[in-house]
Amino acid sequence: MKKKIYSTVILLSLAAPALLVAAEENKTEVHGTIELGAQGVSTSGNKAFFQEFRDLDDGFVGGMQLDALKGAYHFEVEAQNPGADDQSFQLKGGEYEKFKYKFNYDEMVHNYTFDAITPFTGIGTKNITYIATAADTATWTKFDYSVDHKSYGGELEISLNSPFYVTLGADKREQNGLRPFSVVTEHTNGAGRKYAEVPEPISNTTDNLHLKTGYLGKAITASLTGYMSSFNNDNKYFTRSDVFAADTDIDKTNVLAPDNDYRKISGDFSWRDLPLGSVLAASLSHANLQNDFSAADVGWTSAMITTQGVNRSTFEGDIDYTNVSMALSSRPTDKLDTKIYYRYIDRDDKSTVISYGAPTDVTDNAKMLLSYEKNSLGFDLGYRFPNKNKVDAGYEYLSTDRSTAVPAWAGAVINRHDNPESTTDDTFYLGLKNSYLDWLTAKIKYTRLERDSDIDTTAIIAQGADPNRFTARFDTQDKTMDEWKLALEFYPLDSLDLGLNFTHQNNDYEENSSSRTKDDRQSVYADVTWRAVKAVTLNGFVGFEKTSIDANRIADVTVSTVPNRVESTDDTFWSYGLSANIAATDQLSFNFSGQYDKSDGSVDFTDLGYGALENITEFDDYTKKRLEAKAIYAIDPKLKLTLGYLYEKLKYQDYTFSDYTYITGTDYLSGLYADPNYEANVGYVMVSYGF
Amino acid sequence: MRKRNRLLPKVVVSAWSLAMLTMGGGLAGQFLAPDLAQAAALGADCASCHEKPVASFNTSYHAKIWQGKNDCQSCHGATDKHVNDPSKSSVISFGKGGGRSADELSQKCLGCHQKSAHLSLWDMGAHKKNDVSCTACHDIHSPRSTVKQPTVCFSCHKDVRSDANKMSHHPIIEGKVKCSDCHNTHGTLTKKMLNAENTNQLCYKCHADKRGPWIWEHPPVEENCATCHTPHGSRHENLMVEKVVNLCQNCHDDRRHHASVNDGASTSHYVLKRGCIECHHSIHGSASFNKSFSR
Repeated sequence: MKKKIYSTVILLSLAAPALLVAAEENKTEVHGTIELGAQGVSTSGNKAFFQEFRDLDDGFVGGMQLDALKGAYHFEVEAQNPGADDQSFQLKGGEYEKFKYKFNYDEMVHNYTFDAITPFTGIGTKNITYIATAADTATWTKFDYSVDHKSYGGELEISLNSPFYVTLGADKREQNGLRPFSVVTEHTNGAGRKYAEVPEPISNTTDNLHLKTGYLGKAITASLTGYMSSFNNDNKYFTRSDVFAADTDIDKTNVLAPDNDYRKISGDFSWRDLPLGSVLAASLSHANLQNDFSAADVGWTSAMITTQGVNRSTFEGDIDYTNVSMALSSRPTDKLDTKIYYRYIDRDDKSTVISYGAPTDVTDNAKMLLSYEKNSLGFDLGYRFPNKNKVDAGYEYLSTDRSTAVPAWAGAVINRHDNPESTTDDTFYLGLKNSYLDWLTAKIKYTRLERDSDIDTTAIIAQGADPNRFTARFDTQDKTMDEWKLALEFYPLDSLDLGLNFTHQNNDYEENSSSRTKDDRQSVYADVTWRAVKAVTLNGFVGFEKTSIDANRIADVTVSTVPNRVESTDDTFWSYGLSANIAATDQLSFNFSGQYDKSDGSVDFTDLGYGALENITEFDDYTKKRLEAKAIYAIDPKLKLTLGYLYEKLKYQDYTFSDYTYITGTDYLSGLYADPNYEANVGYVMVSYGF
Repeated sequence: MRKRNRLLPKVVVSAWSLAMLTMGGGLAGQFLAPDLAQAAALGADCASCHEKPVASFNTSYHAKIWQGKNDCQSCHGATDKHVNDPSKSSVISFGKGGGRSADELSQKCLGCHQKSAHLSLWDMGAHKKNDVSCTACHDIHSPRSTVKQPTVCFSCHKDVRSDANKMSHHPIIEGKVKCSDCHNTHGTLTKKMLNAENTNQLCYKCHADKRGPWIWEHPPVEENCATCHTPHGSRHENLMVEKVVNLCQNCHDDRRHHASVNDGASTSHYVLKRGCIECHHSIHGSASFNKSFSR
């Protein structure tokens, strides 16, 4: 409550001087709106899901918007939900063509699950302790999975009515709370992996600073930007006490995200008014991401280092990113548009390679350090034919090289676990647009992608006893994609707009004998706006999406690479809604809206000799209903009274969460995402004053 | 326990002080039409037929900045013919059925705004290529010409509207993430008009904890966040493109538990609840010196 009072006082102090200025000096125009009201909220079921990103509780609500203008000077303030945990403020202003500034402050909650429980105490600290009475969930610790986000900062740009400008900005992001995580228990004794859901303690900040200077000419623009970003995590690790007798210190140490420093310098350039109506643009950037930490920094003792046989106890992360992009667009005739472009992105990971038992055991992290280089070259053509027909066509070549540097001591080529060193993509598209009729625009587009990969299945199988063997990235396999898109926009009447979009996409991983082999995606979206009479506007939409994915599953690759079953996953999603805005009288208006979403998933198994499996019918299934009604009464042109009501209901079903228990075998669950169902009613009354 | 917010008053006071200092004096900027009286007269003429549009324009940012120094003709072109032929084709109409190409309409705005830094790549963007004019998104007759995100964007990007309303979504409909936070709608040299060199560099701006560098990387993660996540919204938790157990098996399908997780009738802990992530929690990368099972 105090937070709301403080915020309201600050807001009023913002508005009052502006109003006084307006009263004293006729040349200053001040406009705005202040809203103040109260709301009541009733929630049954999972409040965290209802309030995932918002703070909806009983109490006062409000907002403010203020614009002030005096000649070339302008100033704007905007506040939303002051005092709430999702409040935001923005101030901006300046003198036109001389300087401008802005400040922002934003809070957001991210609620995952409330009233979770765990058989550990000390939740949120760097040491959590397992309780002896773990079999009795009544003795467990209760907590909320929730993270508060805050971001604030500002920017100042100065140009002083010249073609040159300088921009300086800084902002800070803070996160605090508890995020879903889990600890692995008793994994080293070979008795099977066990786990316990516990939250990760979140307390980190990210500081960003940028400085940009540039030139804005009629024909040429150019800029140079420096950007620095530092991430600092208060929690580099946390430890737990013994759960099982076989737990080791390594099992009990949970390493979290490390600090990092990111530096980037970039240059941008554009040159217009070139021959053939051309514009040339280019962008270059180089960035470096670094960190360094020791084993001790992440909670590792020298004994743990010895146990693992690690060749060093420090790590220096060092990754370079280089980007070059350039494009030339031209309009050689009124009917022809062309663009050719080139992009180069390089990621060079020079981080420390660590090994275990080197040189005899070449187990190392080098197989997971990714460097890549992407080169793409393409063109777009657009030609306008008579009768308002336009044809668009284009092609893009993309080459990705993921060659990994070989550590000096390894003495041989290292294939990463995911194996493919290079892929090439060829993408073509052809589109036709017709807008001959004033009341109809029709577009159709076909796109084909052909991906060629050098993935080496033999090398994957030869990975022997490596814990990550037989890993093959589906996103780098050979594949073809065919996609059709159709879009129609109708305007049969001045008062009626209709839109229809249809997409069909098919991906075929033709060379893949294991994992994903194909997927098909269809979607249809339609919407309508009908200004039925002067006082009534109706909006409606409907959407349907269907995704079908086929994948082969192999029981044991070392025995046979022939699939043992086919797994077919179907996802469908329906959504439709309707809204109405009705101006009943000059003073009274109503808004009504409703939306219904339905998600339905399933998995069917086709047995190929491994044994029949039961099909899955509840696979992230849910329905969500939302209704909102609002009545707005204008007491006078400046003063409005709003009475509103919101209803939401979510019903979720999934086979992995059915018959939920907190203890399954030797796993300890916390209730995370266990029952997201909720039903909520919100009523509010709001007074808004415009000035 | 929530921390007290000590920064907010400082931010507000600083900003307000700066605002008051800048509002303290100065003259209006220099604009286009030299003849103030002529502009006012023409505006009055237009209002005789177009009362509401002229009235709404007078509340707009443009009108207040221009202070009558530009008239309707600045954007709508010469009106001589329109007086005798009140059809939309006799004037530059930005509404439906005006008969003008998107490029023609945008050029009216670019005549003044092309020098703006954020429009320097307009010719390279997908919006220009797909015949989207400035006024398709900006309503310059309203008090603020700021685009109402995401509503305006959703009117064309219907698939994104559908995604943003799904059970797992970025807080777009809650107003905490704006379309323009990730996309530069005025044109870029990147795909999808991203505000960064590629997908990962964009995501890392907010998710700096996922940047690494890690001792143990997860290569697909380092190459493209969108391999596993769909950014606007998903039926599946954490914006996953598929349910976790299926998604992981698309790459990891071997003789261990990976191949036998999804048997439907089983109560295997490999598949229940959050699936693979229950044990492999450091899926974005690990800073542990542990050689096994640390991801």
